Amino acid sequence: MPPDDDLALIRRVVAKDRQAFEALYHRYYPRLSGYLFRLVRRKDIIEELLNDVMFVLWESAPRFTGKSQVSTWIFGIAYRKALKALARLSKKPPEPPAAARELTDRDGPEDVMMRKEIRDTLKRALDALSPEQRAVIELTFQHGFSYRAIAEVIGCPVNTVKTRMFYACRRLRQLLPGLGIHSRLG
Amino acid sequence: MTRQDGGAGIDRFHQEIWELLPWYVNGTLEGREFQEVKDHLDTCSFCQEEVTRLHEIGTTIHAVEDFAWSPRPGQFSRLMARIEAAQALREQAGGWWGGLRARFIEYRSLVKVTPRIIRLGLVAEFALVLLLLGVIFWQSSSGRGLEYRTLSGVTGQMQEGKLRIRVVFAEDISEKEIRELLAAVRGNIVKGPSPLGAYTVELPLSGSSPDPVGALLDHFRSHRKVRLAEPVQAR
Repeated sequence: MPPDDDLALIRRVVAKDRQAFEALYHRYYPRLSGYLFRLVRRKDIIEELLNDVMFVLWESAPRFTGKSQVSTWIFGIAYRKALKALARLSKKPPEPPAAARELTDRDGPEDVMMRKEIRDTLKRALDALSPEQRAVIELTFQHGFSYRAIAEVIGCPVNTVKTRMFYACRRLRQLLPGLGIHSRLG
Repeated sequence: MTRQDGGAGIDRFHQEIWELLPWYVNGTLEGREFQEVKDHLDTCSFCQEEVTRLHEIGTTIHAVEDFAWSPRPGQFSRLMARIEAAQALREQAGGWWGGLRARFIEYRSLVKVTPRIIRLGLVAEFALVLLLLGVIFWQSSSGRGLEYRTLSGVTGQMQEGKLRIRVVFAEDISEKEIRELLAAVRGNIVKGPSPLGAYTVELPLSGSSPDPVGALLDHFRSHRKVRLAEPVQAR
């Protein structure tokens, strides 16, 4: 989405335009829900977290200065909400394992097993990272943020972003090549 | 440790390149950094392998980490209800002052998103309005032409023990009667007659009387041929 569209919507949200707020909600919830899930690793709280993020967006829109892109600002709100949720979750029992992706008629038994293995391996690898490292990986490879934008989202110096990515990639390299992931992708 | 795991064996130059590679891979690296990495990759197979690994990591995350989620029906309405409830609570707690503060924050945020040149124009306009208000206030407080004085004021002009009063005589008063009237109080005509027949009479104030101004005015007003006797207001 052109960043100018997002900025126009934010300006209307400042004026308490609900239609603009709803447009932002529908524009961002697909990305935010995935981002939040990969940070907190729990589906059952995604809706609550997403609502928290959008609530803060509505309340804080008047304070958006426009110095960063709207997406950077929103992901920064989501990042902080996710970290707070993780702090709360550390005191609760873990969620049961997520259900496997549903089969389609085109999936053969080998495809099913392979995808499940890759997904589980990747999940274990990402779980082994700290939330801060996961956030950097996620924002880089899933959402295409620059390292400067990530620094704004997370609220840290750019060198910290690079360092976290460096050690996150090193950890993933240690875990993923063990099953030859790169040789199995089509 | 080997160079492949990016551990202690990697030299500092390659570490600086490797730190940029993820953003070279996702296409957000720009300018000098992009060119440095690109030029280096043309000659370094070690870093080219790292680019390939990062591509695989990114592709794997994209391909496998799919997460499909949609809000439940009515989810947005519930969100708005929560926002409205919070707003109502805030207004209730804040009263008129809280509402005023909320309005101030809203207007301030609108100013922040207003283009700079328009902001400067508004500030200049506001400064001009303030300047005009200041001029108006200064003029009114200096009393130029705004003070309203009546003829019946009893302060009179009391400079250096003298009083000036304005006197209108009857048409049939004689010159002798005027001289006797003035001589009794050592008064002198200093101005007049005006087009309406008024004379300005200057009189010395007597310190012996408890109300010297009143006594002098009574002297003129009690004469049957004096139509008007009023003190002249101080300027």
